[in-house]
Amino acid sequence: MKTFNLPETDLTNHFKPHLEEVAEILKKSEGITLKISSLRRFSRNFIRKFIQDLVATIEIDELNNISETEDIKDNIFLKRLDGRLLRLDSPRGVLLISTVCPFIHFFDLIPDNGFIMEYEKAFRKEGIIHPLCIVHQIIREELLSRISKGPLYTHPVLIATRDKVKGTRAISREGNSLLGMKEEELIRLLNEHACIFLIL
Amino acid sequence: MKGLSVRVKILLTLLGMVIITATGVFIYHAVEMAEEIEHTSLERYKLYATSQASKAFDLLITEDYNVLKTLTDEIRSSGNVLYAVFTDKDGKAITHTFSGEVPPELIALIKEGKPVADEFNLQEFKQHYLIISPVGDYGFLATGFVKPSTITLIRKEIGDFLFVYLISISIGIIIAFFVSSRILNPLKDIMKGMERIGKGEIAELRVRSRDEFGEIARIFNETQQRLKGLILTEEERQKMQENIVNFLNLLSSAAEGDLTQRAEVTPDVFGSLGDAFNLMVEGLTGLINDVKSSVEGVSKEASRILNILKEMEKGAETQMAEVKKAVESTDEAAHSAVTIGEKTAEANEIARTALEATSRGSKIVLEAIDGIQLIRVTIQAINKRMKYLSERLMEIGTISGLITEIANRTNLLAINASIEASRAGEQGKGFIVIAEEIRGLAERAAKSTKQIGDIIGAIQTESGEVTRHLEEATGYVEKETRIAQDTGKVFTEIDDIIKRISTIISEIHDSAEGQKALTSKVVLSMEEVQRISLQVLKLVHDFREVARTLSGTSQRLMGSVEKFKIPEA
Repeated sequence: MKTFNLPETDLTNHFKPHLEEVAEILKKSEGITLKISSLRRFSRNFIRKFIQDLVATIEIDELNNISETEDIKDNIFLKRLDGRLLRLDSPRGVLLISTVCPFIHFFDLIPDNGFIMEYEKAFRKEGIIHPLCIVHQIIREELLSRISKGPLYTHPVLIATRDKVKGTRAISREGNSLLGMKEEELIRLLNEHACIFLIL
Repeated sequence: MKGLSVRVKILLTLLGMVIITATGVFIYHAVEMAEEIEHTSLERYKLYATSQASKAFDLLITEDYNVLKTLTDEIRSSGNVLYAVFTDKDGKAITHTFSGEVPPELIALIKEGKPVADEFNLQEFKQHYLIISPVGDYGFLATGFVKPSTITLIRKEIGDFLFVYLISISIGIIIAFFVSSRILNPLKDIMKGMERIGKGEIAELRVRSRDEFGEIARIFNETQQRLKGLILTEEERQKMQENIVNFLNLLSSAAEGDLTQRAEVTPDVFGSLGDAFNLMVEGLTGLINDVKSSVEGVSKEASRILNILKEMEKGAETQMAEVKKAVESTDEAAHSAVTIGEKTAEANEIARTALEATSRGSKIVLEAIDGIQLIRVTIQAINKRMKYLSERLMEIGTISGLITEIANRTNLLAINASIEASRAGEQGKGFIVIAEEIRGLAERAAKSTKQIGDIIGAIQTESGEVTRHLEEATGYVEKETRIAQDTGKVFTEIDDIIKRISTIISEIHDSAEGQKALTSKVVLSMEEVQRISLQVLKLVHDFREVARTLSGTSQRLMGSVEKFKIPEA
């Protein structure tokens, strides 16, 4: 099997102690809807606590340097969470591309057990390759709602994800309908990176 | 070519065509003839070679090689033969002309003694044909014939064809001359007429032909007649010039956007033109006014749309944020429902355990009551036995008193007997001993009876004590029985209460399950709402861009329209 030396972000390290909690939520006999609901609740609580911790670790000077015109990809919070982010300006909004998934180290520790299939069926959503993608999406939502500048509301729309180790990928047709990018173009981008999302 | 007359041009053209056609025909014919001659020559050569081979047949049979040599020389001396070789059937040369033209391939075959050919054969070399003809079954004749040259053949043909060629060209020239005359004569008439018109004369063209030139002349004459009425004087020309300049100035101003100028409406043709121009400018002014007001309207509406869309965008964003909060609340509600479900399940379990415990307690109390009842009955039985024992003891006491009395009287009797025996003296001595023994026994009996009496007394005392205790115990037992019965009742009440609690918990649990199912639906609905809100937000974003573009376009259109200068309303 191919081995990868994948870097870890702050999010990776903070998330480690919560793995069992997530596994517990996924193990519960509740239906997929309530599982997702619980997963989202957990993610919100986790990120709120994490942001508090993160703020405590960020130098005050660095916090003061966050300008109104800052490029979103350079946002210190997003960078701490996602590692390196690339930015593409599309006619439909800003496209952020995460080069490394902070959760990829945990993919094998939390088994899928048909979760993705159930989720896609119940929520009529695509684009995720692992339950932790939902956690990551909520984390981004929460973070972006906190770092939004001015009156504009920013929302991350998941477009596509890829497991760098296994090579599997998923594309959200619904998300891409908002972006309007050709599927071949998306696949080309995805082949080099881990996750693509649109900032609306 | 430019300086040549039309006639010469036509002549040259026709001549050129005739020459090209004749040359083409000639070349085609010459080539065909050359091929024909070549073919005929080859056939002739074959025939000649075959006939010579036939001649040699007898000579080969008789091996008359001297005559064969003569024949070989004859063959060689005939025209077009380069060499001749006779061989036997094995290819060995018998006679030949020793000419240097013999091809090396043939010489090689002859030298090697191989047959030159096993049947009639023809080989083509650069300069000649080699024809090998069999001489029966006895040998071969190899003859080299000169190849006729194509150029020679064509040259030969030219002599025959040149006469026809020249006649064709001559006829072509005559036809060309005739045709050019037929074309040029009406043209000359037209030219003459045009020259006269150029001099200012009104002259009718006279063209007799009924072809296209005749038609041109007719149309020309008709046009000339119509133009007669339109020819102007010098003064009229100047006036027209002036009108044209004025009109051009007007057009120029209009082209630059000044629509305030109007043309003078005169009675001549320019009056109509000016009138039409004025009408056009009026129409254009009206149109520009309409466009202006429409663009202003569009611009205002675009601004309004933009403002509305800004509000909508804010609304959509607020809605999105609120939906996010609602999703969060739904997740919290779902969590509560799940927790309530879990807790009620736990409570149900506890109630079930409590119910089991009370049930066990009730059972134990009932068993205790039964035990106490048994003790009570036992105590009652013991009490009864004790009373009976007491009665028996009383009876024993009575009997013991009687025995004591009997012992006392026996003692008294023994004393009396002893006294009586002492009176009897010696005879009574034995009796005295007996009386003493009886008295001793009576004393011992009295003493034992007294001891029995004491024991019975002690037993009676103890028995009384036991009876008293038993009576006390009976009281206790009865009291305990009542307590146990009360406890049993309490347990029954607790059991009922726990059952009721369990029912309530079950109902709460069912409600919590219902709540969970409901919350699941709400979670999915909120997901749908979030999805729609996102799409609405996206649409509003897109629509705002469209409105912004529309506003920009109307601004640019306004800028373009404002370049026009129009009269004040």
